[in-house]
Amino acid sequence: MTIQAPSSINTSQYAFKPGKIQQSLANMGKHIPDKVHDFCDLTTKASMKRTTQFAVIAVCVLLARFLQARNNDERREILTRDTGMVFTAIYAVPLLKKVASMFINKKTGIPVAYGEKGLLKNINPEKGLQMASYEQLAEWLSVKNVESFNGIKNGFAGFCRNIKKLGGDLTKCFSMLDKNSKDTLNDLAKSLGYQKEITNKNVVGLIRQAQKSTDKNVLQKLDSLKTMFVGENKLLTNASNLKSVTGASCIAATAFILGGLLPWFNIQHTKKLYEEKKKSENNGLNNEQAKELPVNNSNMMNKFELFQKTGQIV
Amino acid sequence: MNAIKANNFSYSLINKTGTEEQKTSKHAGNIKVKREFKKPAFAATLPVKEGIGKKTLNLALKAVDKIQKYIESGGFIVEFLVVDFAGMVIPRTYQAYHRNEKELGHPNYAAAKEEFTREILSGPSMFLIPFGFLAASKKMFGSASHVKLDTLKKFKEITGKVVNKAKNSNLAQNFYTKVVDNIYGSKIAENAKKVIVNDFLKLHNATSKKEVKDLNKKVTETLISTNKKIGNDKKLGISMADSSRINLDGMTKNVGDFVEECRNYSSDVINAVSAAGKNVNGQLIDKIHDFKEGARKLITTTAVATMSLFLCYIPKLYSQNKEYPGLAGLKTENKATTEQNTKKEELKK
Repeated sequence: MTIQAPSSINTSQYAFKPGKIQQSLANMGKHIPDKVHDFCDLTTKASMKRTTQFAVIAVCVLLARFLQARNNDERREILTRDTGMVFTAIYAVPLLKKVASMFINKKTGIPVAYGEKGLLKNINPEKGLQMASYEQLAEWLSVKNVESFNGIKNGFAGFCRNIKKLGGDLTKCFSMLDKNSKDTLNDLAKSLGYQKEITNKNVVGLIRQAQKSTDKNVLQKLDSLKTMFVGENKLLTNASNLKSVTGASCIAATAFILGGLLPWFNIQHTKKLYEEKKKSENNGLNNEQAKELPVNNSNMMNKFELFQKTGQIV
Repeated sequence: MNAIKANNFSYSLINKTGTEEQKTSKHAGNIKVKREFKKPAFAATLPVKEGIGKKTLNLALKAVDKIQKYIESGGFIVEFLVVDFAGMVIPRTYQAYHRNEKELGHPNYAAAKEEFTREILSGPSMFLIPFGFLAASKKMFGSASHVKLDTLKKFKEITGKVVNKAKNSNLAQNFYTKVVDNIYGSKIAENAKKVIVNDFLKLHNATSKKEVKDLNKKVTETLISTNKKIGNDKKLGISMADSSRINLDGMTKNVGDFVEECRNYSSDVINAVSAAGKNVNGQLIDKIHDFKEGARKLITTTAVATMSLFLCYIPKLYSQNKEYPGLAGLKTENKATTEQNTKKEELKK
């Protein structure tokens, strides 16, 4: 975009004089296509997009290691170990978090995630349902003080409506706050003449009605309910703990699969292949036949390949 | 038996059943009566040990919570490094160290060394190299090179609009007023806008690192609380579900990142444009932005390219042994292959 200078302003560039090297480098940068830059773009914390990360790991880690491997055993181990790594670290862990947040929400009624549900919308780990940050949980489930109620539109009713909108079950959330919170809510409903049972659907309406009321008794009960949400309340602590346990479980699962299971499998598998080869040798294969025997397959496959090569049934 | 012990923990008897006759007979003590227990709630099951168990559980939860919060506040880099180090480097090196230990008669040092070198170089390099490039770019090309390209283009548009009518002494103020206008439109009162603009200006004028950090936090909080007051507004892209998001002319941004970008841009480009005084013109603005955009493109692309090349080169660094050390100890079975290779080499000669 070219900006038109006002006619009264003379052209001057004295205020901006980068060094020659910097200018040449920046000129070089201008020739980089936007698509290439978009692919390589970094966040303020120097991390790449997940798609870029996936491509870089697949090509520069998996493929590069595979091509530079010293023998077929190493190649096989790289494929097992690093393919698992690419999918577990980039895709499986975020997907696990999505599933966990849905499970938590369904079981406890606490909202711990936001975003669109549905299988297709959640295939891309960066889109769809996202687990809330600790800051977001604090915003959703607690208030600094009852006077301003975090400045939320419609105060307490708006706050509760938001919890419900995020998928939370308000009756379950209220019962977590305090031993008496559910009773207080029921008392409030009675004071307002509610005949129906208090459910997730009518809590917001009840609170909205209570906010409009001038009855001191109603307002007092409403205040005691509001106070339960101030600061580090039990609901927030529960939500925070559930999120932390999910996060820690994801780390543990990653460590178990990538650090434990896959290398262990590789070690055992290679060992077994060599043991099988040794057994084949002892089972009457002559030295020449043993030389032909590949080590990267099962015993049955070894025999089959040997049959193909020598025509002898082993 | 008047007290029942189950799993070494005493339960208090809640009720005794049996006919009245049985209870009052002289054989009452010998009559086995069915005793009913109310299943106590979890918290009341273990009067002594339950306290310790619950306390331990709570302490463990608190510790997990604290660690996870630390990981999250450090961003994806810390998360990746923790996962990488605790989940990959340590267990993989450990397994490699003990690989074929029985066959070898000693730990597999070579395999452990290879595994450690590979893992310690791979994970951290994916962040440290881009991080180094970004740090260098700030020194070489100015802080605006840290601003993402789409934001940089949008800021250029805004600067172009405000510079024409600016007396230039208050260019920063005009810039931020326009930014806040674009974010909130007429949704918030003029006074509220002024408060935000003033906060931004304080951040713009901040000099020390601590001041910048504190004011960054303050402006971020102001924007988030403004978003909360608005609640849900699809047109402005503001949602109660995530009030830490804002929308600048179609670009959805994290408030914290956006505030950082604003500071990086204004302390560099706006200051440069302001320094031109009345001599500022469109050509100068174009020149500055072309330079910053070029620098940004170069830095991000070369950072990712360098990191990719380094990752490709890592196998050369860890493959110091001619033979794959994972096979050490299994070598006796490998003799046939070795002999075959030697024969092949001889034939080639």
